[in-house]
Amino acid sequence: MSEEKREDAGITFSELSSGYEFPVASYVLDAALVSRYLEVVESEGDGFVPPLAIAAYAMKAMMDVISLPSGAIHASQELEFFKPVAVGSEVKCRSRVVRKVSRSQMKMMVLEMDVLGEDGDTVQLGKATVILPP
Amino acid sequence: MSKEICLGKILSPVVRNITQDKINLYAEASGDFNPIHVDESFAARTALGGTVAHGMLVLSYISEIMSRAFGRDWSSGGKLSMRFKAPARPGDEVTVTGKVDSIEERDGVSYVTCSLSCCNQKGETVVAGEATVKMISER
Repeated sequence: MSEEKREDAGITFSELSSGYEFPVASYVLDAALVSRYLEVVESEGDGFVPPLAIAAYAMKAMMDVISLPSGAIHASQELEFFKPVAVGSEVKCRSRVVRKVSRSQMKMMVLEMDVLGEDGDTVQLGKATVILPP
Repeated sequence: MSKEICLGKILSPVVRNITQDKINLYAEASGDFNPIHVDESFAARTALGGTVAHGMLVLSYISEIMSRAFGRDWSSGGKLSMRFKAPARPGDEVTVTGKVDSIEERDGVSYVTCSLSCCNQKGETVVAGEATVKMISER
């Protein structure tokens, strides 16, 4: 599959290298966003932002920057949570490419992220392995 | 340590039906519009043969079982490591199960580790792995 470049995204897989750091992304986890997320995942929630919602938006922040070929899939995910995040908080996500494999029959990358709360403390760490179509 | 959490305890399962509507709604909520999830004609031409649920949607069900069992301790001191084994497809009913595999005491704090899996209605494992919770609330 050829490497497509979406109009709204910048760097492609072939342009990425191990060690690449994504621009820091900030986003507000407001009540409407959290409510919509909880409805979709069929959860009642606990009054805080669901930790998987934070992870999902951190992943989106990364994917807004890179343009992966259509058909990329998630192979594994590690997450670590350190404190609950209040609804309405603004968080910052720092992310990077820690490993990239690009062979004719296999393309994959490992991405790491850390999410900081409004006080600057780490609220979440994550590591995702993404496999791309050959 | 909460009396409800003990070695070998089976966590209350979480059952969810995967539909294309839910996948589409998750795409809108998360902003992940990868066509492998939302474009049925595109997905049919790939090795997967059809659309599949977002991995993070399935992981939200894994998080749900942990949140129900451990409450705020999950979002305050949870750690998750999962591998995606097979796709969750529209029409699937997936069941997340978990069991307490170990309870360790370190520096006066209990760490509870659970094995977790998410299987479809055919018994195929969709996601498997483990999670550890630092039991903060008991202190």
